[in-house]
Amino acid sequence: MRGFLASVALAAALAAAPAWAGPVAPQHIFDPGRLPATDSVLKVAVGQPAPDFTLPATGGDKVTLSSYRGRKNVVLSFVPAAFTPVCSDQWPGYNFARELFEQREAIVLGISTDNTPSQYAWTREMGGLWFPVLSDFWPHGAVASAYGVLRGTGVAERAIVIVDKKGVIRFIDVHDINTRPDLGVIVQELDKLRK
Amino acid sequence: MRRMLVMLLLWAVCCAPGAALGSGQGQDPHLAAISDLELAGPVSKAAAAYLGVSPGEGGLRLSQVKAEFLLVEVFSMYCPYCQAEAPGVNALYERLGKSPAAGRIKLLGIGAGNTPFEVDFFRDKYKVPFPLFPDQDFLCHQALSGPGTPYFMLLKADRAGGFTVLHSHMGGFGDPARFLDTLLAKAGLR
Repeated sequence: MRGFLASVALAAALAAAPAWAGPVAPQHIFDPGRLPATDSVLKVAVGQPAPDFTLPATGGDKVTLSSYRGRKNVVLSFVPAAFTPVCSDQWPGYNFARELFEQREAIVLGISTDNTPSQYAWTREMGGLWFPVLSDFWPHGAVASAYGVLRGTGVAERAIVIVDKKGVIRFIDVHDINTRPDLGVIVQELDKLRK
Repeated sequence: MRRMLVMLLLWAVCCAPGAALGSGQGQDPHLAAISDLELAGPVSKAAAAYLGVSPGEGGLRLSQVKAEFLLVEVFSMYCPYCQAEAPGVNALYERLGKSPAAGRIKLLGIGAGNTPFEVDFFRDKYKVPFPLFPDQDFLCHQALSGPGTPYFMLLKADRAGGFTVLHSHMGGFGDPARFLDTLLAKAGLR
């Protein structure tokens, strides 16, 4: 009887669980509530060379920004934290829009200050991503700090930095951390690099 | 232990998120807000012709749509469930056009938190044949108490310009033919 009740309860709970906008199960999402829109001071500007970095990726390899020079435009997508509401659908959205980046000879580099195991679990739950996800965990937030997008709480801003094939910063959007950057603006800025 | 399981069962059936938005006729708590939903423009000529409104850059209120019944899908370009459901919703639209409800039930989508670009990209990628509207600031989504997506509501227009909720469904609906049967039954068109 107990087994039957457990089965029925589990089935009913699963059936009653709502669908959700993101691919990460809602019970696995930590909602920090509404945060100050930004909490850092930029240290880079459009027209400057992008500070180079090498960071570990969830694939086990290391990724160096300058390795894309002459080959790809780079969209640096800084996000605050794994398993949080907005981040958990922003990058899957870039999965959905993969062709928009590839048509513009661009790669996305996703960066957060989470450690690699957390990023690994998070991106696995998303079903995987086509672009590298990099850990700026140690020295903690060093890359985010070099760009001036490290918040006082130790997480990165939700920021988009577009670097062209020459390694020059062409666009910066330190976005309201509570909302997603408009995909249309990113595409529009990548289009400008074609001219 | 048994008591806890029974409580869990009761919670799942009665109180879990989504249950309140379930399929109860006329029980949707968001009824009052529905007629006031502001859909952002632009409204294409094709969308305007389908919905019986004027085309243009401006938006429209849901209550301006000329339809006896309206099926509203709340979706997001960023939502994998909505992406997976898109071909099925297109199939539902095709079936609607060939059913007894042709011209009587109209279908439109609201992109929760989506910009116009994101809605256009979703429309183009899935060749969505029915009107989609961006809800960039989540205003429509919040007016509906932020349902998970995709979310479907079958509305019946009333004489005062408002709508009665005949049926609501959160998540993918599975077989379009079966869902259409449900809609026709709820609308009294079968």
